[in-house]
Amino acid sequence: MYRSRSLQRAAAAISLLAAVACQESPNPVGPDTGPPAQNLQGPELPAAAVLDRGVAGFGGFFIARDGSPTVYLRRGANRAPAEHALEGYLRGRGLAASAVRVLEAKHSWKDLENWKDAATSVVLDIDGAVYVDNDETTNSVKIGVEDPGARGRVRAAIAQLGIPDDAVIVERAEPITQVATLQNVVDRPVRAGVQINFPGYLCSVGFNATSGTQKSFITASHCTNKQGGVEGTPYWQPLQSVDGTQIATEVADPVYVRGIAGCPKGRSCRYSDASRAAYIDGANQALGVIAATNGPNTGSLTITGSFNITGDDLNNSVAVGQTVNKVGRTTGWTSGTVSNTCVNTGVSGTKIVQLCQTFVSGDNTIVLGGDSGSGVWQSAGGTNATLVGILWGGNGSGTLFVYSPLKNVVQELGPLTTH
Amino acid sequence: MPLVFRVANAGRASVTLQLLGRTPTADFRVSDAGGRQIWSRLRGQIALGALRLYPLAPGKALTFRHTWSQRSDSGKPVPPGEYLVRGVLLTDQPGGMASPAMRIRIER
Repeated sequence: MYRSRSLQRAAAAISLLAAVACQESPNPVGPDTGPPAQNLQGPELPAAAVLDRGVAGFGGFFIARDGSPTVYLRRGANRAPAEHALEGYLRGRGLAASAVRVLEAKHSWKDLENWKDAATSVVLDIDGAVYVDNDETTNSVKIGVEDPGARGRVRAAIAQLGIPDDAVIVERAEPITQVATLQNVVDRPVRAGVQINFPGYLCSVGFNATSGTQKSFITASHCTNKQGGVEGTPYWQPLQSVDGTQIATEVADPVYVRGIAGCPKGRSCRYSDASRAAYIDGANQALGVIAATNGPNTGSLTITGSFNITGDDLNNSVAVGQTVNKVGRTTGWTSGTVSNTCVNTGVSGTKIVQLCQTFVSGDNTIVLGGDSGSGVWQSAGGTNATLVGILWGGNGSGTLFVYSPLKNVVQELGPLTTH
Repeated sequence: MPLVFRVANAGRASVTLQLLGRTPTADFRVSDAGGRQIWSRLRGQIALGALRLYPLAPGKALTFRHTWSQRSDSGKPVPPGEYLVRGVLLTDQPGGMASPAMRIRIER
């Protein structure tokens, strides 16, 4: 899950610095790993378990709605250890340790944690129970239930466990449902537009296709272990860490070559940035189906339905000024206007030139990292779509994407049945 | 004018950056004192759209370097004055991860 998600967001722990150096630097833009930068953030909040070990009578810590750092302590407990334990965290936020507000705790944090664990194993088996939490703001175990009927069953269960009644708050809660998005859905059979994972990278399924009898999907050539050439790249969907069963293997990805017509001297060229991966289990292929969100350029990644591929543009007939669409794992369903056709396009940071590509412009963000491989299509009325190409790149601001026309893809990968 | 942009993991846990392209890519952007962007290192370039999962251990940093010729996107030398420089790490988020602006002065 990415918007919710399993990978940690970098912003949580990354500091950004820009510096104007004093000496000439001949190095081009590119990464290297260096010594750590100055830590501009204050010390992190100690974990509750750490506070519990260091602060006698600790019952919980939270930031109140008015911004006050607030700690629960049992009656008679000294506030000094709490102030000391939180001093670094508070100093990093411009607060003095004396700003800590102390509330009297009825229960110790450790007891609440033990009761939460005990209740979890029983309560979540009760129909209508939603969650069990050691709630720092109320110094209690808080249990959420969907309906009043569950409230009584939960109270009976915690009484049987020997948990003090006044240590538990049972409150009404909405059911928690997982939203299937282009990034987190385990999509079987696999539709176009959803996230795929190969070692170290994320991309999008372009479209499903059958080559001969081989059930496959098409994605970008650079969405393989090596752009150009077949290395047997393994694919998982959505992530290897979510579903460790490999779904497909790269089987077609022509090498980039020099000397073909239109290819500049010293560069390697192809007419498409496209590759084909064969499904390991052919039943996983949703031929002709593209995952749909609620509308173009809304930013939504929630899957609400599907588009159906009903035609293929094998003549590269899309003209400047026409609208095309794509569905990809990062920006979802976006549409833009074709601004240039048959553009020989150099790829930033490489010696690759993609010949005869199509540029699409939008007023806002229509592409970001991870959208590579997305199928590009024109509306054919309703939920019908005519496939026109494979997206592989964009500009730095995300307002322009580039796709390889389907004609070029088929020219290099061979005949494909797409629907 | 040499520019250095460093992205460091100042936390205690490893993080996985989600970075545009096969190779981590950063942009450098220069604005005039009024905030109008006058130069971008990646202007007019097309980058690959894969998303790289880039682990960054605590204390480690990614460093990007580039030299600005003190010319605008149109190729003309910029006039003397104050300018703002930002580094932008291209990610899967609109706008990427941008550094605070550095204020510089060009004198003739």
